[in-house]
Amino acid sequence: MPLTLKVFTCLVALSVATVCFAQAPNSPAASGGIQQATHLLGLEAIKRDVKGSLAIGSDGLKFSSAAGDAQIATASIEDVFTGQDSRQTGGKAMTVTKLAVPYGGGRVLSLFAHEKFDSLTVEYRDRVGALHAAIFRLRLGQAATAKKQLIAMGAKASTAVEETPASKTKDAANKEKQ
Amino acid sequence: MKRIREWLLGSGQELNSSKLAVLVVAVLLTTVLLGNCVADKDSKTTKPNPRVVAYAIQIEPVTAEQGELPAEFAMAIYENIVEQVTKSGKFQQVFRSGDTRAAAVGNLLILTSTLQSFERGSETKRAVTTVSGATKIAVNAKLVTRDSQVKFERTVDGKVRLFGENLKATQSLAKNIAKLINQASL
Repeated sequence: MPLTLKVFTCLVALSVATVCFAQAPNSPAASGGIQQATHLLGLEAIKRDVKGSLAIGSDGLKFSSAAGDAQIATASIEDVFTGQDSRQTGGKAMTVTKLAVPYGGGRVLSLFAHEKFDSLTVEYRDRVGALHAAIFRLRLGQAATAKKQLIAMGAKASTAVEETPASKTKDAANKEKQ
Repeated sequence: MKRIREWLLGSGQELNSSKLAVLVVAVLLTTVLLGNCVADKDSKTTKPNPRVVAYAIQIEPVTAEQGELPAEFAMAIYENIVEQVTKSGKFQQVFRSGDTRAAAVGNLLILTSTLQSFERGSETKRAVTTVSGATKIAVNAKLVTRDSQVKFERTVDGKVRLFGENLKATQSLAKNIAKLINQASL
């Protein structure tokens, strides 16, 4: 019995510690331009495909997530690029579901389970001059805004802000109204 | 221990030979298993990589004609190559492009890659048709010394055919490059 009690106590302590670590407070995001983003790759302190928030402030670009925070100083940013792509949504659960649907029904599901997204690529150099790149996935139409904010804060960019089809459509609609 | 003694001796005081044999076998098995575990742990921690070469490597980003390769793909290839080459453990040091510390290194190889072809597919097309929509990238990877002596040159490709986002092709490409470099005799 005492042994069982010890094991039980250990298990309780372990679970309490796990919960405490899991709820470690995140540092607050920077002041301006906070948007939801997924870190695809490039930030060494953060794993790939981690969701979090991207904040652009005077001190640079900050990615905050439950897994940790990372910051890129504005002065170290060499270039910023935006892009657009599409992907299947629903993750692994949806993939398994699609495979399980008989008579090729999964393929029909694939036709509807997709979304377009924007990508934001930030090239920067560290203290020893080594080149790094961080790539983020943003909601459609948000990458151009993020790039504009970064340029406004003093980040370098070799290309002008690319207009996304979503923003182009909005512009065209406004012209027609006029 | 008391229970084991009771189980071994039973009601009498004489040792049951078959039970003793079982106990000996159990002890032997435990010893062998524990020994294997310790040996594995030692080999993981102390075993040196026999393929480590007397070179450091500096990795440069992919060069391509303007507009031929989207920036996210170019930089994803670069980041993935850095990761895969570091993971391979073949080189004494791995430097990124522009790293000032590389200037002080004597035996330095520079890995450059030039885009040969790029075909952006579609994940939806792949999921619906299973035969079309693949994303394919091919680059010419070259390892050169500071005095422009080519140590390794190969055209390597990376692709994503069925599952995964388009950017996954860059990971496949980087893995292939690291694998070929690892196999090459430098």
